[in-house]
Amino acid sequence: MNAPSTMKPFRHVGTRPVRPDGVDKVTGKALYSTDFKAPGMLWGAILRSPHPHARILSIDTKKAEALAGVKAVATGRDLPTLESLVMHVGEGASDIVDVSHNCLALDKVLYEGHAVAAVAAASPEIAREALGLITVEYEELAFVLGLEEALAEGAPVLHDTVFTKGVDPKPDRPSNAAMRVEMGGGDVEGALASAAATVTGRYTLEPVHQGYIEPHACVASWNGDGQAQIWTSSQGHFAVRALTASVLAIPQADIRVTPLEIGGGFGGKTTVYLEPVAMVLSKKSGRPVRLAMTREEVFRATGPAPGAVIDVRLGAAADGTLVAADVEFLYHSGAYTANDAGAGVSSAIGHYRIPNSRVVGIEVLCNRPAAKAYRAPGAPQVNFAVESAMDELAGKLGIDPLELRLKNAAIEGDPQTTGLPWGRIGYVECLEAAKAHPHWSAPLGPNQGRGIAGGYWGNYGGPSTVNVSVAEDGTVTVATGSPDIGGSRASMAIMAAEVLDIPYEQVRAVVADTASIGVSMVTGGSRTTFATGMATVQAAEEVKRLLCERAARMWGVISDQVEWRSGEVICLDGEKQGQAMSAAAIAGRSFHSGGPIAAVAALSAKGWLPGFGVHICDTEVDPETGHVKIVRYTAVQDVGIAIHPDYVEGQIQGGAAQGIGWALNEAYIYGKDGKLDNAGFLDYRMPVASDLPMIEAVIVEVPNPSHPYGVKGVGEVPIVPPLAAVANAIHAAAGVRLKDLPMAPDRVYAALHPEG
Amino acid sequence: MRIVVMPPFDKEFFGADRLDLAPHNLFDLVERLEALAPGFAAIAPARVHFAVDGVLETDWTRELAQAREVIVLPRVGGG
Repeated sequence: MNAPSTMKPFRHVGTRPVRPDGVDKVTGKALYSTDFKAPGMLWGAILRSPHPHARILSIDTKKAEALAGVKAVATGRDLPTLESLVMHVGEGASDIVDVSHNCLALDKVLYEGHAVAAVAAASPEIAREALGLITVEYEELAFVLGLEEALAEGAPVLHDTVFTKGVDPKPDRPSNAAMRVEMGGGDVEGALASAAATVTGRYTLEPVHQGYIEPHACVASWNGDGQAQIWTSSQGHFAVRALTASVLAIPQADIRVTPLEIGGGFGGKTTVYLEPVAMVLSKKSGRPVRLAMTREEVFRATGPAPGAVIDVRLGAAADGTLVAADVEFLYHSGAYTANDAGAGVSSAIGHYRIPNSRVVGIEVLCNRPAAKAYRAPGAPQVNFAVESAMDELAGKLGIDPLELRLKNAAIEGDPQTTGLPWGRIGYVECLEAAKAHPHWSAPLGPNQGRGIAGGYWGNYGGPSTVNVSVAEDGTVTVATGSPDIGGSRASMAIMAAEVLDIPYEQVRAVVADTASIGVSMVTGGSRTTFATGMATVQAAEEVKRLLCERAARMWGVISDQVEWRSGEVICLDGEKQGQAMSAAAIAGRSFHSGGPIAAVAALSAKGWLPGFGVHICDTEVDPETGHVKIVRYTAVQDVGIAIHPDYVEGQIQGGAAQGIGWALNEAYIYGKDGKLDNAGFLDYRMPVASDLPMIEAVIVEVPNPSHPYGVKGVGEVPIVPPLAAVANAIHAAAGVRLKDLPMAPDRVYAALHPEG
Repeated sequence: MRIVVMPPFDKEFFGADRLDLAPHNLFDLVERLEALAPGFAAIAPARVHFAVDGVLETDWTRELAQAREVIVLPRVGGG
């Protein structure tokens, strides 16, 4: 199963066939979550808290229930009381009690937009009218939004059950500091004191949203016999099943979740907000119920990436050798505990060899929506600080910023922040590719500057199940449990076709529902092409073995006397020597030779490797307005081996675009009343096509020896370097170092004109 | 066998970052760690990764007879 050290030329891997889901999507035939309708379906709506922090004293639903057309009303009291259970079914660990209370608040609301009640009615209009008839009596509580404010003495504490994890001695009173993680080693202070050059900085970022175009939506139908179906758009329908069943305290097998097409997730669709509520409404009404968020609800009630306050100190010898790094950050956790601090700590400085280091991450609870994964969760924030500081250090030392990175870049065998040795990574190869790229040496115009930044993400493996079956005509179906977000149907078809050495068009890949395939983890963590791909290869290999065995039996020879060549079985010995039998010929007679040809591979993939990227950004800064234009952008990334390069390039471009938006414009803006002021795409400014140049994706291939085709994982790395790449380019263009995101025109203008 | 417990688990559960145990596999290690710090086994599947002699290991049936070191570290998934 290991990739050969000298990769053989592939027939399909690395080609760019037409995407199998393309026609449906461009002709509007693809079924997204709000396209799905069930017979007799009701329309649901959710009442949300207007307060950022309040105790729920009472909820009166009688008037809503009495409204004609209303079929069911639900509150947190309709969800079962659960015992604490930490689950890892989406992206990171969540306590199922928190998941439940986030779906429908029980005693307290913890952020503006927190769900408090839900209605199912004969029409959307009646459902909305009914929401207005629900009376909730609140006792408003003091709230806190800022990181340092939440940790200050006397700050309102969100949970009286949360005691800071990871500190010694264990605290004796609850705190908004949910967790503290510290890694590193050596003599940081001593090394900084003796360094030839040091830089120090404080960097801040606001929470940003994943910005998926398709809002959360689902239809649930819970029958009187206990059997239920959910149709939903998510990054993992098995995670939806597990979480919904756990919240409702029912068996997982009683829920069949059918995945619909997904209009973007980026980590934000790895949990449940609506499904358990729709289930309760369905049970109460006896009808299928649709719940769909508005864009405003998506902003107010679903998880953003955490904002941060980050302090960085770096030190280097005169020749540029890094000697010490001290990084300490606070990350928003939002209303419930999250998992980004550990990821931030392990993603901060591991791309460099630094003998003395200390990295501390603290997760901070506050009255905002619970933070959720967003592409390389926890990495872009701290990378912005570290890679900005690297640029500053290069300036102080008078060393080219790319050369400074090359001099210190981690290679295979170097220790990560965790102390584990890096495997076959490709950071140096990416830096060398960036250095050789024409962009790095291209001339710049007036008010323009060039920045560079590097970064990485660990990627993941995890459980996947794949069923490869051969139809009677020899065509092949690959059924997976992994929702197709970035082209996995195409990449699975390519890998199966590669194993079987048959035309790509002869293989169709589908995403099967939870009753039709074994468990697979979410499509996230840049894991699907790696892990589900590994299962696809394994199942296809077994199908190939079965085809050979059947042909041998039909020819009356032993299996060793046949061989698979160019998509057919060749007889190597006996009377039939030289004869060939196609997959179609074998499968067509499979009912009379032992049964259908099919194989299942269920595995927990290991051997994943991180991906590294280096981004080059040219900006043009308007000195009169502070507007920053991205003039040219090149993203270099080690992907292992690109199975379908179009999709790989698309992932790199998409991640870079999101990172540029994070750098320049995106931020949650709250008023003094604790309410979100920009809950829509008009006021929450994501980049659009006219804001960006063509982003050139440069694929570097350093194969992963643990994957049969060398795959590493792609989707998350490209959002890591852009924040610093843009900041460094602005510094190069205008001579100002911006340390607070977003670098919107007002901030840039203020930096350019400090006199006011 | 040396068991290296990384933050936050060292302070959260064990009050030490080095332990000396002889588990026969990682399931056995979880049981032994649970005996030292009740509550660890409940969070381990969701929050913990193990590295055996420097390599992440997701198969907890992995025999540890020949292993020199197991690192207990935070699990990182992704988005």
